[in-house]
Amino acid sequence: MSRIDESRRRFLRAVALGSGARVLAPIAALLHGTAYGAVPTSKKVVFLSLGAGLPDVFLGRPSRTSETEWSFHPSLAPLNPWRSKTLIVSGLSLAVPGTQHSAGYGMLSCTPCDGGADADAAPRAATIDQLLGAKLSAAGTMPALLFGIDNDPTRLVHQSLFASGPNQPVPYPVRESVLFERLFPGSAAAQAGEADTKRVMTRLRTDVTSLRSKLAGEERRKLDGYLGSLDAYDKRRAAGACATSAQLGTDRGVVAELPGMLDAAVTALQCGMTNVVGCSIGGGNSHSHFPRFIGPHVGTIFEEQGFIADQGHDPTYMASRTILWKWLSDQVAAFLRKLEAPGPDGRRLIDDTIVVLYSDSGPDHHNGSSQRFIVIGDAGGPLRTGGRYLEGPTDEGWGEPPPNGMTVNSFLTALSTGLGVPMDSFGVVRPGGTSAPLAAML
Amino acid sequence: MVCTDVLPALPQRVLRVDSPAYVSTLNQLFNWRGQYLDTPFAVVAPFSRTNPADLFTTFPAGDSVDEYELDELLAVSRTVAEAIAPGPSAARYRMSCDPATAACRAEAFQNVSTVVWSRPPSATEAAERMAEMDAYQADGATPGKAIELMLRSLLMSPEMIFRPELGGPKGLSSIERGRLLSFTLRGTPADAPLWELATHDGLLDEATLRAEVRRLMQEPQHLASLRRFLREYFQWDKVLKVRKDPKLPYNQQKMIDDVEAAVERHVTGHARAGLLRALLTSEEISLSEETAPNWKVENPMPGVIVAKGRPGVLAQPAWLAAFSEPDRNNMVRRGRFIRERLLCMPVPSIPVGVIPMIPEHAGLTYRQTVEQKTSGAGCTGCHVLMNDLGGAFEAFNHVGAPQSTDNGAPVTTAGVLNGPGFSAVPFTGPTELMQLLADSPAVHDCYVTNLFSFYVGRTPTREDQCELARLKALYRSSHEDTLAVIEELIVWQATTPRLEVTP
Repeated sequence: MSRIDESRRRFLRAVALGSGARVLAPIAALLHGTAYGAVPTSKKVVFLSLGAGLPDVFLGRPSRTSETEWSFHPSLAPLNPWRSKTLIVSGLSLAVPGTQHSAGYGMLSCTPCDGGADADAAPRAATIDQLLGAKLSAAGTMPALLFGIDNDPTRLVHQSLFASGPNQPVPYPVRESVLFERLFPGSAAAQAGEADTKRVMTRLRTDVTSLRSKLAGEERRKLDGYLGSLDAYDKRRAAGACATSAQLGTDRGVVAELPGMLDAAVTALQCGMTNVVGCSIGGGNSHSHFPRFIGPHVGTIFEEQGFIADQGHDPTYMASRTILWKWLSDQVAAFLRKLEAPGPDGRRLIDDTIVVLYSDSGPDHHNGSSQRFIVIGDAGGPLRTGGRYLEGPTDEGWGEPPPNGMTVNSFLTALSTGLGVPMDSFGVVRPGGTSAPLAAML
Repeated sequence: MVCTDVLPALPQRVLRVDSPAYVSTLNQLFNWRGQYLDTPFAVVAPFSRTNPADLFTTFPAGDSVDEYELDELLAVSRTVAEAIAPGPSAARYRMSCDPATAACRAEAFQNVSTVVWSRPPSATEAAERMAEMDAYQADGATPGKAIELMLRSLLMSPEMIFRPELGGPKGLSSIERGRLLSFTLRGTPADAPLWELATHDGLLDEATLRAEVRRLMQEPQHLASLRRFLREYFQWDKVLKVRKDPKLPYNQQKMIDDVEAAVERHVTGHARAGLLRALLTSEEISLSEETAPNWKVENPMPGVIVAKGRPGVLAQPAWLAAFSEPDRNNMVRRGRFIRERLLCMPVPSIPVGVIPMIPEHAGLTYRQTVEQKTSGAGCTGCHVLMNDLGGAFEAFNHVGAPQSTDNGAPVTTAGVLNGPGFSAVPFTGPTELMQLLADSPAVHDCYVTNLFSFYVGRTPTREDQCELARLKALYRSSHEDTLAVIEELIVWQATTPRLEVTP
């Protein structure tokens, strides 16, 4: 229904953070503790959620003969360089009913949603990214930087996987330009009249404060929320200086924007704008968002079709999926390489970061009962990665939880503990399950 | 709770504007000099995101402005201000005065603030803004830029974003009443007659207030709020969210056009008596060439016809497809809608550990499979509330076409209705079920409750129960007059004393 003014479209490509990370690093160091205040911890976590399942059930499970003898599915081969830093945990049950194409908010909250599997289901609890954000990110910073891509090119902002509480979905941009302006309004505004915007904001603050003074209780809190957004804008504008050399390019289409968005996330982590990142790649409660992406199929037989089949599980479908997963693995690998770039103090982001790759649809795009996570990095411990593969019982069929009591809850509490945020329990578990940290991960 | 004639006070509040209201205010802005905005702006319309937990899209009245919405406001205010601020070159929507003159600055502020605040600005406010524009210029801004910045701040001002209902012991002020009427009923700023009354305290008189409400509702087809309420109440537009096999005869927008054409006729003919009854039972339908396969009527001539066995909105292809899966019916979802939305009876959510997959069984219809799977002790307590209600619509498939068999077996549509006022009342199919519902006081009470929620922007609280009871009684005594209920809802909000809360 609406579009962003084309004249304001500038893409992040010019940053090229492979080298750009070094260019920006000194500024990032400067901003640490200035624009965003002192960061209480250096530990960071990145959630990368892929819609429509991980290559597992359909394409054959990764070969595994022991905890450390296994290999990635070929479509995930680009992740091999980080194999020794990897921990795979599979066979986790999730106590979220109604899961078909996505567990939605339930995946990271381990709590059923209102509306079950409906596209407009509502969250009933906060997701772990928000809880970790409150602990890991510095006061006044973004608790979590959220973004994603969606196969609907008209959509600018989406909400489906992340929530700050009951009935409080947290929206996230699904276009690079929107993410860029959200992260770095200072750099965009520098060309579009930074001083002008500042004047407008000053006036606005006076007006909001004036109306606020006439109100009390809930009504006053509405105005507090407006003031809070103005404050957050100021902070983002200040931190935007971190990316003064960043520029947005031309519109490249939905899928092609993901690399630039991941670059922006690296910059945000370097600038101390947040310590938690969540990225939804075609995820959410809607049928087969991800398989319908055309972009990665350019140059293949699927490009000519102009339509990626998502009905049934035939070989053609599997072939198109493999292309998508390979493409995604390449993006994740590029992201990891950028995290490996040394910072001004010689320290690399990847040494402080845990990257969690999973699918909000479970291993199979219909399957919510047996979940799987790929963890890369340990943020300095105590999470035990080391190229380990912890495998619970395989999927027992639709609707049947694995019988071992391993749960997504226990995975997330162990992950949280690994990030220095000890958590004894989390979310709702099935009868017989537990949410205590999964000991084998620590 | 004992209800007396004395109305309890309502709390003061501010209502966050919604997207249609914000956009219509902008349109008014472009229209104030007789120039209609005929091309859409290339910016995000602010506040277009909705919270799935909200029963109606009027519920964001209780919201604030989040960071995304602020970004959207910044973008739209900049674009609009740039378009209308006076400048050196003429442009279609640009004010034509000389920005270097005080008169031009005053005119710009006066005209724009009047529209966006829905009230005339005070002399103090005008003086403040004039001084501010002077300061901008002293700071290096050109005269045109100074006006543009002032306009940007107006377009994001809290009084535009949050409609105040502060009022006092005698209810809302005349200006506040004017805003309540125009935005609640029409979704736009006041028209000229309403503006005249609102700005001259004319709406403080209850008889005048009522006359204005009736004038605005005189042509129900122009009553945007009622159409919006019905769309959100029945949710037929959810059909746009259900992906179907592209090979199916399935034109979602045309399906919506069909149902909305039927609804339009009912609104025009029945808003003063029996609107809900018509919406639940009327077999008069509209169809087009594109949707004829979904209707499967004999001799499908595009236009309005009577389709036997198609009772009301719930038997329209749009609604049936909206409450289906991509490739099959979903009778539980259909039944849940009737139980929750038409009877206002909550159904517990799916219990933890249950995944509602319905695998096909040879020789069994979908309904039989569902009933078999949900007949266990752990399921039946909730499913008894939904299965039969949704099962009645097994007479239609997931794109709304009639079906007599399913999976090779004959479909059954009979069931029993339990609930308030019903005790195992049998019905044979959708026509009888919808007639039972249309005759049920509980369904009409529920309808009034939903009208309350929509027009007040929140669900009724304990304190609202007396007013709600009064509205239900009025609805019954007025022969199911929907507009009478809406009128009372507006007058109640306008005239009830407002509790002044000390900050």
